[in-house]
Amino acid sequence: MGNYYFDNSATSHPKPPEVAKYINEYLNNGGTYGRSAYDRVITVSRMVENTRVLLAQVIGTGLTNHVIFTSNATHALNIVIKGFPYRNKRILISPLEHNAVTRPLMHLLNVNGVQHYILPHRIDGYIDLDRMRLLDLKSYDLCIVNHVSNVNGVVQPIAELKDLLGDVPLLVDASQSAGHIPLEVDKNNIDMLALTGHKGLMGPTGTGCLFIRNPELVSPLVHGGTGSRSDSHLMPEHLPDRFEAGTPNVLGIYGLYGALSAKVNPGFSFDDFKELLNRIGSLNSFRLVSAGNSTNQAPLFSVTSSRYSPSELSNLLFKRYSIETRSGLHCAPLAHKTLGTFPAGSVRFSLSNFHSSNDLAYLYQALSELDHDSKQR
Amino acid sequence: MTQSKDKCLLLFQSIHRVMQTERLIVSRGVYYQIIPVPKDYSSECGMCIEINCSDLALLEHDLQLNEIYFNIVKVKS
Ligand SMILES: Cc1ncc(COP(=O)(O)O)c(C=O)c1O
Repeated sequence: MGNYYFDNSATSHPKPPEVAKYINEYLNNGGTYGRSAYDRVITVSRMVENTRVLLAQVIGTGLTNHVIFTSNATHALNIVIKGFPYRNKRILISPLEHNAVTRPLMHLLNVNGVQHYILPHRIDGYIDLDRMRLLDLKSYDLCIVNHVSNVNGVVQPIAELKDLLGDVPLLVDASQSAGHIPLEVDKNNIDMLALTGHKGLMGPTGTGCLFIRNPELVSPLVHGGTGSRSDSHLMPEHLPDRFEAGTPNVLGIYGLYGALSAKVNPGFSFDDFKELLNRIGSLNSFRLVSAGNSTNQAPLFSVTSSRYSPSELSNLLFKRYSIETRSGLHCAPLAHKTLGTFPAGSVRFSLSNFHSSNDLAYLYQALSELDHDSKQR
Repeated sequence: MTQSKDKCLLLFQSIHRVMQTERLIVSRGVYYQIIPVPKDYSSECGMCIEINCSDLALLEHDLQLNEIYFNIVKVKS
């Protein structure tokens, strides 16, 4: 049987075998991170720090201590959004933000009156850099951009965006790009970046990180024990401890280590993927919701059907073809509004390196049969 | 003068720095040991690294290059 799991943007499956191997190793050996110095603890601390180094490589930074473990991207985004000093009380956001950003922003609006404004964009939500130049960028405190949309897979031009923003800090939500697209925060001078471990990086749930270039800008979200400066009632200033109160998710971090040290080559090519999109785009009863330009397309996209609601389509795909997808709004009502698919939403297909070109062909076959059925009704 | 058997303790702010230093020491192939911070010294992060004081100059250079800040305590053997 092929791999018919097309819900990797929700969480990746399968995981590389190394994930279970390292989780098992931790379950068998135990130990906490820091706080003491016997062998079991030293081994765990070493693994946690080696994982941090691997994450720093994924992010593209030499500042390993600026990589903060979090429980997921939502946690990382909340640290920045709630701990940032807003002077002008104005934030710029992309039109394709997830609720992990928009809900904390609504909280900020209600509690502190911080307003958010949507960047000018094209029809597929891709930021319009030319029109952005017309904005008085200096009047904003922060800009937040979802690197890859979890609805249509559009990849935003974060390097050019940061160039335009100049001194205005940029927070990138790399939840859907990590593991698929090089992040290169040092090269592109990205200020802050949030990611989650269980999607494109193929690690376990409950893992993620925040990269923060200028930590003094942001106050910690959670206060508590760090195993360092225990004589003080205040959070330490140094990194990563400033943002890492409480015992970390060592079990998950072991699994993430397994994922990051595994090598999974994609079983399909970008051309196979582009061809799939072209073929789906030519089916009459479906509307393909994807990037306007295939060079800005990550390996995920949505469709809507003129015949079936998203939930009916998702259910049919599963019942008839064992294809697993996610239907509805994907926790991104703003993105669906931007793309004209609100309130019904869409059916999303998200790929992983564990797919083969045959799996893509199988997906196309299923959709074309449903397209054909809908014509006969 | 530093005797070859004199030990030095390197104290760091965070576990992150201890492990980063361990990687540097391992790449130099010199003796080290991770031990609990002795009670008399201000406990920064619970663990510290013991090395031979005779290797200090070499490692100090590596640590400075990597912007790793630390305190040194000499322990007479
Ligand atoms: C764009 C985007 N941001 C943030 C998140 C939140 O990820 P997590 O639930 O792992 O925190 C997701 C995942 O659903 C996402 O797709």
